[in-house]
Amino acid sequence: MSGTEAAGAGASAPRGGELRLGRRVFGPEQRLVMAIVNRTPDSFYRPGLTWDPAVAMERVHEVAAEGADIIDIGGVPAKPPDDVDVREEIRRIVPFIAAVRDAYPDLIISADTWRHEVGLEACAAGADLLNDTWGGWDPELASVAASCGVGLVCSHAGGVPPRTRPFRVAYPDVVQDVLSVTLGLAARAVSAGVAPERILIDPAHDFGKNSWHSLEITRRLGELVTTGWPVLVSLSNKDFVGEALDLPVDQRVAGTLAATAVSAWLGARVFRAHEVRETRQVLDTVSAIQGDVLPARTVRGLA
Amino acid sequence: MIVAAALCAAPPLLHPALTGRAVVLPELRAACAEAVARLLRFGPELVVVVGPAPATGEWSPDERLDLAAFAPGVVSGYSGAGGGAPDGAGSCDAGPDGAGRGFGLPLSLGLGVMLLDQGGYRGPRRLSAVGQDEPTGTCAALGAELASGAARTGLLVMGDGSARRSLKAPGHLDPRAEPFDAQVERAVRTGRPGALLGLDETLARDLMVTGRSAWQVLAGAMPDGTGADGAGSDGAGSDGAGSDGAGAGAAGSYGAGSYGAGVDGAGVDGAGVDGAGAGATGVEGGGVDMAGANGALVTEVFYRDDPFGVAYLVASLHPRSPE
Repeated sequence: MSGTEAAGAGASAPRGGELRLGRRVFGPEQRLVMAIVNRTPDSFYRPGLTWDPAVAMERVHEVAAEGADIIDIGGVPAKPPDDVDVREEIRRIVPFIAAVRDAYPDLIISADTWRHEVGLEACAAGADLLNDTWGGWDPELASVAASCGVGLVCSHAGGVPPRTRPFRVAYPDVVQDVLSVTLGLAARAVSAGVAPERILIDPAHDFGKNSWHSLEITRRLGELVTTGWPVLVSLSNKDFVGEALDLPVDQRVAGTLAATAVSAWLGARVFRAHEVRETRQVLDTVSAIQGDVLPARTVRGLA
Repeated sequence: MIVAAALCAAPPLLHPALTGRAVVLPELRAACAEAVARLLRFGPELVVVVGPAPATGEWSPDERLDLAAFAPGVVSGYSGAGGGAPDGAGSCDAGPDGAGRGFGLPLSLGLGVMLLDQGGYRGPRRLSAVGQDEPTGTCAALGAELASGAARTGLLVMGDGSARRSLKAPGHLDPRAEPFDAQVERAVRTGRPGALLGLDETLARDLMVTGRSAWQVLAGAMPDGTGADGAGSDGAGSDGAGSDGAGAGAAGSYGAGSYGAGVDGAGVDGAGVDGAGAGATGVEGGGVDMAGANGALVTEVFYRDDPFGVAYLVASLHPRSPE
């Protein structure tokens, strides 16, 4: 698609694959776990698990101990209905972001929001990254990321409004569309003043996609990786995994981890996940297989 | 002329690049470094690394261990510069002109080279592989040949005891392993390397002992004055070794290990033997200047244990403390 080329010409990924989040710098060989901590009563996976603030903070302690690099804090479920307005979204996540920031000065905090008003408050409370899952629906969000000096996730949601489910979506080539949109958003973010080394792209599995599309972008993830932009994938317990296996939402961990391993092998760098310990182990194993990281301890056959 | 010798363990895990992010057996690595440092303090003009290999032969000092043979993909450690094939009758795969990529040095020699490098040794080296199944007499003769050189020579002898020392050992548990390794340790601790000529070749093979042939080169290079001159393996056999055990000395600080518990009493401290070995100082022309008047060398054991069911022994043998 011509959009891809135009976007590619508009901004290029940082050389050397450096990714900066908060005060930390990550090389392309590092694979990061982004732990999901939802401040919602009704998210699709284990709904209400961390609705209580004290429980949510316990969950942060837990995932930090399990090896999470990033905590992704969201206040609005991806699904309809029950509109959560700006004020309510801020009420749900901003004080919590501040509390996590107090407890963990160096942990990377991501705010899962598409609204610039929420993004602004989140950054003021200490967020390092704005995870815009809805594909740049609110163009002001990139400006907020720029003015706050934080990172931005540029995702492909198929052009649908936030909190809508895919309905008979079709793409001539879904990967080309993902490339066109995410690179376009990355270019827009750079123009808005976001530091290129703080930008990630996310094909956004299941967002504006049927399962065939999500499987295809997983299969061809390498085409996103070769753009040089760090790729974030959000696979955890999603419908495309469930439909690959015909399993309900509470039985998708193994399938999720398989998709995680494949994505890691193909070069994804950030993995948004519910199961942090298991994801960490998968990523560390892939890193050892790929030779990016030494195995922890090898003595078998070497004594 | 042999001025000192060091015995070091030779498992792949001795190499830091092969054990991943963890530091594995730091005490074993430190012991090997200490034994080599002790050897180098005698100021050898030449260090000969003696190590077991599939076949006997000399290797170029420019050759290196091919780490990638042990850790493919992750480690690219092959830096062999010289011709790959040993000068002698080797069975290594390297091409005759070095172009064909073989497996580099035999493991034991490669680790010896690593220890010398780590120890800062820059002088001349000779790398002598000795076939793991080489008969005792051949090993002893090799040792005698090494000792006959004019240069003040340090010997770095690589090799390990049985790999059948526990249920989880590479070769599972064989009850004969412990007495075998105890025999080796006793010979070293009592400063009577000649007793190593009594090690049984077939038993050593059965017990997955990698060090037997190299130790017997050591024995041939350093007759210990017990009357066995190294050529006659009979005289220095297990009988002599057995009687050594009666002269019970302190076992030193290494007796806490699980290895060779029955041998602890046989240990002779270096300090205890020091005085007896004093007469060796000025001996010349005999090929070896370290055998004391009563045949005992100063020995020090830096490590003996079998953490993975393989017997590791690290020691130094020398006539006196270096100035």
